[in-house]
Amino acid sequence: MKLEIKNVTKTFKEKIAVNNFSMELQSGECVGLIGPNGAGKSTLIKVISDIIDPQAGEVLLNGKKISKMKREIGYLPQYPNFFHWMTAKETLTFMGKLSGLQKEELTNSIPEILTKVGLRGEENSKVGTFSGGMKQRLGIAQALLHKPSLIVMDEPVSALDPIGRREVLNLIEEIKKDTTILLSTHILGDAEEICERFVIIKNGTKIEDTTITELLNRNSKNKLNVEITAKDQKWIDVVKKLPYVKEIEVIGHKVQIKVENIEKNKNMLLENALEHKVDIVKFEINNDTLEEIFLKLVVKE
Amino acid sequence: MQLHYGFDELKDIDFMAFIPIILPFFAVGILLVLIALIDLYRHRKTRKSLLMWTFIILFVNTLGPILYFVIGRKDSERL
Amino acid sequence: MNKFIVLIKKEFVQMVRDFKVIWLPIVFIFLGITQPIVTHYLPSILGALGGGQGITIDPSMTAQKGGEVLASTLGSQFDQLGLMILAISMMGIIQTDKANGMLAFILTRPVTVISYIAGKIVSNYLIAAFSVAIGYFASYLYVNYLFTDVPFSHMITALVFYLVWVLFIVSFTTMISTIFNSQGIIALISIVFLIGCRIIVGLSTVIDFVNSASMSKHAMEVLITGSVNSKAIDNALVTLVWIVLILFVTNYWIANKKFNHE
Repeated sequence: MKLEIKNVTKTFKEKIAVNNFSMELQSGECVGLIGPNGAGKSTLIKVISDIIDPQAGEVLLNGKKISKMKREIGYLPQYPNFFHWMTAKETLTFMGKLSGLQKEELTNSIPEILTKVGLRGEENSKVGTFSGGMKQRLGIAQALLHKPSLIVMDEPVSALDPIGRREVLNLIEEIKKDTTILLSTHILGDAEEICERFVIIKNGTKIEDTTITELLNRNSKNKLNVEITAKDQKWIDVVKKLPYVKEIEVIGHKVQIKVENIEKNKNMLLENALEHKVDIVKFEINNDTLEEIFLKLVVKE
Repeated sequence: MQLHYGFDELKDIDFMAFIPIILPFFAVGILLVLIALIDLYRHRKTRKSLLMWTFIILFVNTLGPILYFVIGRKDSERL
Repeated sequence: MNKFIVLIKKEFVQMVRDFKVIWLPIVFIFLGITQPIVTHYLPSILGALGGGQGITIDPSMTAQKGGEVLASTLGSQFDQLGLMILAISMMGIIQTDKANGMLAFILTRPVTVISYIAGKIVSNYLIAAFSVAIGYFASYLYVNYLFTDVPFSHMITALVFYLVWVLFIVSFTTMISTIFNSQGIIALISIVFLIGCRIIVGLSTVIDFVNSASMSKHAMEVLITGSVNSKAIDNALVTLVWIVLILFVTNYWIANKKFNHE
């Protein structure tokens, strides 16, 4: 399985929702599409699941147009909305048959999938009585039912309460083992938890496509955070003169020191501090959290 | 042809012949009212202005249930 | 083909749960028997209200033949109130699916737009045709009992003609429901257009030729005169052309995702 998104552009009236977006997805990956509200995530997801046509560019699955490969895609909308008069089982039967499954396959796979998403025992309840979390799980069930090679999820957890969120996250963690997943979210914590790879999108443009470890490493920028007591403030002047120190920033008792090479220089700095009998409260490598990196990426320009 | 009907003559109309004809007419009307009420009762939780529809179904002659079926049930489809 | 059956089945299950399979036929039965009963008893009722003063009633009214009464069931019940009820009961046929996202959702599955539309139209046409037919039969029974007998062959021919017009009503409402997003507007446009079509029948032979509502007139003619108008078949063909055109527009609209208005 290989999903290719090639130079997709989609505009609504004057507003550009997705601007020349390209990416590739390999089998077994779990990719988080993150970005602020209105960045074009949902539009992109809809283009991928063939709900809207892009003005330019194309989406290919295994080299074929996505509209010919619907059988291979499982789609979960942002607000899964089923016919409220159907029961959970009827909904799955209906969606399954539309996906081209046979009745015999369905009689086996529906109870199985309902167990998986934790809706066993609710198969004969009307969907109209379901809570948001239950609908979301039913949505996941219908997306998994026909064993697609790619599952596309639009904000699978954003609209849920903490309990529903946890249920769905665990479920995604579970299904991640045997399918390729592309999901969009604006909550970083969720993406951090389930995805290895991130694509950050802003104003319809891809601004970052990387893995979480790489992103964290790249953004550490050779900085050390040192916290010292008031009586050792004069040590800062010593540090400023050190050859490997490039930049220094003092915020109260905290000093942020930028060095040339974090690996080599951090111990040298520590030795230096000990030589001067500095009372160290805290000595750490500056690690931006994902949120800080995200904010920096999205807010810059 | 005599086309002069008096009040007394109306009474003379053979009611036994009259009833079998008019009865299905009313039966159909009542059936409609019943179905509308059953549907309203089954969905009493999701319907807006329950009381209003009950009155419309019961008192707006034959058009009431029809009105209920064609427009009174739309609110529940939002889900 | 398989998907088409699944979609039709879904529509029918929905109609059963909504009671639509019960109330729509009953409404048409009601409309169907209203005409003969009212026509039959109107003179007596008017007479009674006149309080014995004696009103002379146009003799043609009481002396109506069965065929004429059955024709006026079509012309003044089904083509007015009946048409409105049909249009209103179907105004959400596609609009509801658009509004709650089910249309987009269904189309993410390997389902062709044509089988979706066909499923909608076929299922709704079957229920509409069934309702009209059963109401018409009820009217027929009453007419035969209260007035002169209508020949069975005339009755069936007229029904077939009329059902062509019903197919046009269903398809047209479906198209309007696809294009517009407000149920009120859909009902308004459908009703005004369809009743407008019905009203202008007879004004000009050219318009009549392309007007699908002429099918209703042909049906009435069969009942009244007992002979089939030579233009009826042409009209039926023109109506079918219209329906194909309507299907084409509806298909184009959905396939090109015009319904996505964000």
